[in-house]
Amino acid sequence: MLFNSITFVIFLPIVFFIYWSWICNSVRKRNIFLICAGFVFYGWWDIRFLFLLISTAMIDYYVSHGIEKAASQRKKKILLSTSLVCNLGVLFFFKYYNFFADSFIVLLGAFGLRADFFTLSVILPIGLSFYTFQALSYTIDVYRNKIKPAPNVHTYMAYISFFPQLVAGPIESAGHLMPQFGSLKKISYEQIIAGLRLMLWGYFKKCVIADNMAPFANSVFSADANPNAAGVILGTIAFAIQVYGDFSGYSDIAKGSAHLLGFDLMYNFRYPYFASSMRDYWRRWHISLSNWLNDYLYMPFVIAKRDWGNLAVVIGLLLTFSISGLWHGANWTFIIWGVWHGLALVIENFYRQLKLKRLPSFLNHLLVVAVVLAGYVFFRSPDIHTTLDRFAAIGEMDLDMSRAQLFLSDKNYSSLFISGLIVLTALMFIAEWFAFKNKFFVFFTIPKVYRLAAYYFLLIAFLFYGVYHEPPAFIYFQF
Amino acid sequence: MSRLHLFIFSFNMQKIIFRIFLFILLPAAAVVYILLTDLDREYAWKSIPGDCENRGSWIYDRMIKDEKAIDIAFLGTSHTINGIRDTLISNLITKKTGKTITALNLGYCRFGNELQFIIAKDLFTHKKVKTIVIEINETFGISSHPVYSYYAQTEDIIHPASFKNQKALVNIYDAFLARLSQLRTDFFNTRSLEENTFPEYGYRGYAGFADPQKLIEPAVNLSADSNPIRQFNIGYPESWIKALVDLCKANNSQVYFLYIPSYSSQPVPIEGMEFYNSLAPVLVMPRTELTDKKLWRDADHLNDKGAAIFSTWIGNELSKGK
Repeated sequence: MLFNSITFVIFLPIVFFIYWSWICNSVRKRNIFLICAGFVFYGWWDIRFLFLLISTAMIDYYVSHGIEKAASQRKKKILLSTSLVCNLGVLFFFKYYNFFADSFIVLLGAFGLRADFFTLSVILPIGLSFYTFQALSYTIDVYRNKIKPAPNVHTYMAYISFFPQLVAGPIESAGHLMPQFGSLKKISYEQIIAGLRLMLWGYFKKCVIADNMAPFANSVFSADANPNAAGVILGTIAFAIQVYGDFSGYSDIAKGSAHLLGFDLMYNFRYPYFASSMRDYWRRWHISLSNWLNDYLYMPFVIAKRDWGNLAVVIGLLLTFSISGLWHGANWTFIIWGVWHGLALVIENFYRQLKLKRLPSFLNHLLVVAVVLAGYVFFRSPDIHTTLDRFAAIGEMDLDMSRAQLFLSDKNYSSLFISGLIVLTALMFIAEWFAFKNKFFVFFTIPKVYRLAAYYFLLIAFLFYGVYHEPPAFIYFQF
Repeated sequence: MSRLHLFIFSFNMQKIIFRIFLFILLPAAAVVYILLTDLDREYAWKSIPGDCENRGSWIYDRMIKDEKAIDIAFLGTSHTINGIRDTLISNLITKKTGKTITALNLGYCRFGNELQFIIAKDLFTHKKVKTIVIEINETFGISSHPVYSYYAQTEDIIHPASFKNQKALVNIYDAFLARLSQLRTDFFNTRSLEENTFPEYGYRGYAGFADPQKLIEPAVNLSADSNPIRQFNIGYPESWIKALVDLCKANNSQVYFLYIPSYSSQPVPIEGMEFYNSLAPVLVMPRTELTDKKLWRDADHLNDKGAAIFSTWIGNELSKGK
């Protein structure tokens, strides 16, 4: 089920009213109801993969209790390995098998050797990378004694299948989210309204901004397009706006939906395009994934190899970001995107260590934006060949808009539509700039009458700019 | 009652529901206003690019812009499009009766009697049609036509027959989107209409014939009749067919049902025969004339040769009433 579908618009109020009604008058009943809601939400897409979700969750639940009870460290390690093998095995099979098989065949071919692997026609279960990482964080934290295992099956299943964050995060740590399933919440007017505001803002970013930017990015990055430098630059900017609106919009809707049920999810985005360094950027972009990679990959590696000094940091960063790229998708473009960000962080790290004079603030911002935009050329291209073509087009510096190929879709645009879209996008960034500077969101703090006007303004924007005909899925659903 | 009371009035729920209700009054009014806006007919018929080879655009032009008369109109699905050679029928009836008669194939891809109703409604607004021939098949087409909401006026979207269908709410939502799209294209001045590229569209022929191996006997399973969901859904085409027949009668047009068969070497029962017979005469061509596998484009559609045989038979049948 997509957040931007009419089905969800019907589903959420039903869940809301039943959840807060007399039917769910105990923690257990509420958890069981949330599990059912999660299953409906997930199974709406393909019911077969529900069994995958349930079976891996059950394994993790019993493994975590086994770890808790295990008398020896060796037994604990065996149990943890069982969880790792199961979760990563499922992830590898569904997401990476064909990629590695194909890459291995190409590699052997380069040495004149032939190999014949099966390539499988496998459908990637939606949200697999997200809930696998969430499940892994749970068992690893139990192993590390950071948290206690879930007290019962329904608490754990409710944590894993919590529908607002099930398919595209945030990847919540068990330490933060799971205890919230242990108490009987009381409905709070302020929390409900805060949730609805977040959802409204999230839908605006997704349906008005991101979905309208998509055709421009799609035109420029389709494999058969041949845009010039102007096209690639504008198409990449359009994609940067699209992916931010799409994913941060999703996160706002997820957080808002969770608020409606009395839950608090972590912030997944904190205005990343205003970051002053690449390190700052990664503290603001997809925060839950960054935290996960930091806690379970980067830090353990650097600590384990601390004797290597700076080399441990360099290898740690490159390794972590390569895996981050691979997490996004089984394609070399994502891996190179990850390495690109890893390299940027390595260079920034060295620059910081040299203690040279700091660049002016606006230059830092510009540098971050330039690095991120260049990374998007890898991230958005369907294959390496297209990536190289797009960089070659930038190199030619042809800025003639008539050859930009930004308008290849069959949609009919008028200057009024384009101008309005630019204004709305600017308003989105201005609102977020205020939030970035003042640490509060402008719509939530202005006087009531202006706030109401702002809400209605957003609704009018929906009416005239919302994409409703075959609305695009969220970009991160594919990961 | 006490439990319901608990549900609504505890947990701050009253305040929340009341505030949300107040807030959505204005947007809800806007939605209702948009939904009640009538679709411009040209926009309606010409705004879906590529659907059924832009047949909507041709239907609009032929029915409304073209001043040529339409005496006999054939309404149906792709079976009609491929099976009714309207020019052949026109010539045959004209020759037999001595009166100039124009027959027109107004079939539209896919099942959905409600779409045929919409075509007939626009047709009667602009033309005096003497005879309407409605396609019937081995079974009722119980699904709502996928583009119905984009062509229909609001009064037809909320026609009582519309609600005898599982997709009723989806249709209302689609109708809202169609009207919103019209509002937007007018506001942004981006209206683009799909122009008709086939001046003489009507019948769409196919000279080749199907691979005989693929012309297998149809598996018509009328035992599905007892399925309560199907029973509920059958009410949908029945209601629209009744509404269509009533519309034709109100416009003094003679109605026939015409069975357009799928390939089979044996007679196949027709679902709802009693129902059709109660409304209008049903024309059923003897099955034996269409058993030659070289008369078929595929298992459901006749080719040029098959359509010629079929249309000649229809022409002869219709001339009897002229």
